Amino acid sequence: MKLTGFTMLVKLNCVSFKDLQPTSITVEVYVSSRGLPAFDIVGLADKAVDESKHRVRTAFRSTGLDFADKKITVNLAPADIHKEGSYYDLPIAVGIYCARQGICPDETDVFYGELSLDGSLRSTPRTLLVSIFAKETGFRRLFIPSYNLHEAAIYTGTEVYGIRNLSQIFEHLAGKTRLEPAENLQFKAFSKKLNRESNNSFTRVIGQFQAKRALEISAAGGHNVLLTGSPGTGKTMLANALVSILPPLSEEESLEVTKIYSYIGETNPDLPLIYSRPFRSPHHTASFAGMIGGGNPITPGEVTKAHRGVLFLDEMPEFARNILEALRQPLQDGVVNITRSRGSTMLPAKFMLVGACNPCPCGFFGHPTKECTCSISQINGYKRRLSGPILDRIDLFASTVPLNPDELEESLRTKDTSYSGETPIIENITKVRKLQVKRFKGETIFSNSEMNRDHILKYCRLKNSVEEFLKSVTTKMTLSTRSYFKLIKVSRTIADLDECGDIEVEHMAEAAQYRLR
Amino acid sequence: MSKFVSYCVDASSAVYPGKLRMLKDPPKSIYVKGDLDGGLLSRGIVGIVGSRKIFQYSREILRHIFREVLPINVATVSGFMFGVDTEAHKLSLENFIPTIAVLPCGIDAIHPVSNYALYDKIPGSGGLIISEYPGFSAPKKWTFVNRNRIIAALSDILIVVQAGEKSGSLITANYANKLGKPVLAVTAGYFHRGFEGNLQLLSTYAKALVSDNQINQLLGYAPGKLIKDTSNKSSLLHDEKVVYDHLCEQPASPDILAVRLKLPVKSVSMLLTNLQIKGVAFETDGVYHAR
Repeated sequence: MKLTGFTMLVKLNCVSFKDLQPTSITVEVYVSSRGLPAFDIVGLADKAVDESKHRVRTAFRSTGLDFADKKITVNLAPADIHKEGSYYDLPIAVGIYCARQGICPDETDVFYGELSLDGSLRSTPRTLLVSIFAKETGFRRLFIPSYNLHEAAIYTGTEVYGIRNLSQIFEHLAGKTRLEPAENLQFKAFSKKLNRESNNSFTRVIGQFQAKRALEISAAGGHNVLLTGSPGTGKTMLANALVSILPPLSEEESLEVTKIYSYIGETNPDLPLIYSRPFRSPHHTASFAGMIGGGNPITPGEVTKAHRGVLFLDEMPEFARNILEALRQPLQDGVVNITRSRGSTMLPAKFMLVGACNPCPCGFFGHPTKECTCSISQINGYKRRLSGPILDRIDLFASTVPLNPDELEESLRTKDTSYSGETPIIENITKVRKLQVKRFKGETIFSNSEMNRDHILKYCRLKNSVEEFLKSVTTKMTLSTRSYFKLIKVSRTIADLDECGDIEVEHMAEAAQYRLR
Repeated sequence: MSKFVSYCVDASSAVYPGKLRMLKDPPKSIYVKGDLDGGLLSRGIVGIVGSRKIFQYSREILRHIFREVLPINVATVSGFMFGVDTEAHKLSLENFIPTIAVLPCGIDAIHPVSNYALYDKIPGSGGLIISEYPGFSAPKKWTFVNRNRIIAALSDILIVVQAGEKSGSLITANYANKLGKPVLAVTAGYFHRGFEGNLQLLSTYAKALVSDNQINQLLGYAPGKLIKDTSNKSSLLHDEKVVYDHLCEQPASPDILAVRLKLPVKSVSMLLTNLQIKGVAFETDGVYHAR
């Protein structure tokens, strides 16, 4: 390349993240032919940004350009925001090129991406968030690595250009070979994929009809559920299968979930839009920050990753007490607040909780053939680990029963009676969910599980005979006031599944099987 | 702090329970909370003992005993420990039967602490708290054994609800047997874990506990006058009867009932709730039993 003795200041746009919130960053590049050759990056940059120098310099050489003899200063403004990550590589490289060539880039362009040493662009996370931010801020063009093109193009509004390597973007900027913006994908790919995903692992679980029925009810009404049973009776398998009977994500929900996964960089580049409900099953040794969210910068925890999906806590009483207690807020409000001295961040965390626990630490208390080796204080201590406020937020309690070989064989031979409807189970559940959305139109809730006492009085009016029955259940089974209201809520969902406008005695009688014992 | 003040009763006192004098080594004095002279000791006293680690099954048996086996005008005595003892005291209070708790620790100490609420309720409802140890002295291994001999001495009949292989209840049963008191044990299945002690007793001196008027007869009471009989087998509807009959043959989980009776599980759930409400079935750890 011919040197021109030219000095110039170039400004480009990039995006940084303050926790989960994108903010606009101006990348200022100044190339001077005076002074000793140097390459400096200023503006509160962390190690990954500083290392950008080496990537950019080598990538230039690989592309056949050189700038070793210049004094280059890069400023990331505003200078008081902490910058981190590798996605400033592209704007820095483009800035140097423009400064050298005397090109003035458009101020509505955004550049975002990480460079490889060979001059190509690497896959960079969070492009969906960048694309949404670009649209909202009024930027017109977005240049990102071609790997992430699908993800960024989910959201309409900006022209998105996928770049494979540096020479491609340089030629584009120089006006030699123009790039074409990607077509907005919107939700086309989304609707196509859905039909293929309807195979149902739920019906493959052997036996455990009552537990399956409990999960069907909880999926239909959005109720949180706790499965109790000895090891090996199928708790984990059932919970895993639950996802297959949950109604699909709506477009808005899908975007919400994809944004979260885009932020943590766990999207699939080819099929970036997440259309099936997330299923998260963190191990019970999970740390507080890992579950609830935390770290610096703030990383979403499992509760946020389970947004709009299922959070499955296997061995629930084994989770640290402070983690279980911290679940109270997301279970109540659907969001989690992470408060630090420098500010508070609110992350979405609306999930269905599925817990699984053993009857005692060794797992065999009440087992028909195996002996429990726990002491009474161990058993009580184990049960006490799930505090009242947490149990309050769980509507259904189901147990899985160990099967002896005869019973197993019988269950295998018999038709599954847990679901007796004619349409596929997932369609029925989707229908019931829609019914609830219609019922609670004008309220701030969407499912039966969210009803408070006022809602229950309003939407679950009981006939005299049912009221009478409820009274006898309450006295015979010594239910607390809280269990009383849970029973009505669950009955409401069972009646919905039966397409009954009114709650009948049979619905309530079934619901009573899923009470806290 | 307890509302009731403890007092000491000397062996020479007129209110000292005569039954204790039958022992080889009667306590020289006992410490009491509640009214020792209130006529409670003149009732027939049924001792109820069993394991600390109570099974749901045993809870149901206890409930059944209180509902359909015990006559209305008895008193109960037990050891205030958690498990069967606690359950026996609680059920006594629920059914307005005066109950005597014999402590292994000092009269003013509460052991186990989790029974704090019971500690005041018992003397408050006409029952007694008794110990042979004063003040706040802590329980020792041997004080539990000594307490057992008092329970045995105070009882006219001893019921062993659930005893494991090396249960302390067997010691109480031995004391009672030596004092010539009838010992009744709950029958359990041959393979039933946690009931090994019951089988041991039944193979030696104990009699099987059966319903009807057994206790009345042993106490020399006129037949009848049970607390209450709530089960209502005649009012069962057809499907309920089918499930009930199956449970009579063999206890089963809802899943197995659904398989064997070829009913959808939601109907089975509904029928089981109805049977529970009618008082003819009960559930232990996911398995239903006919009562």
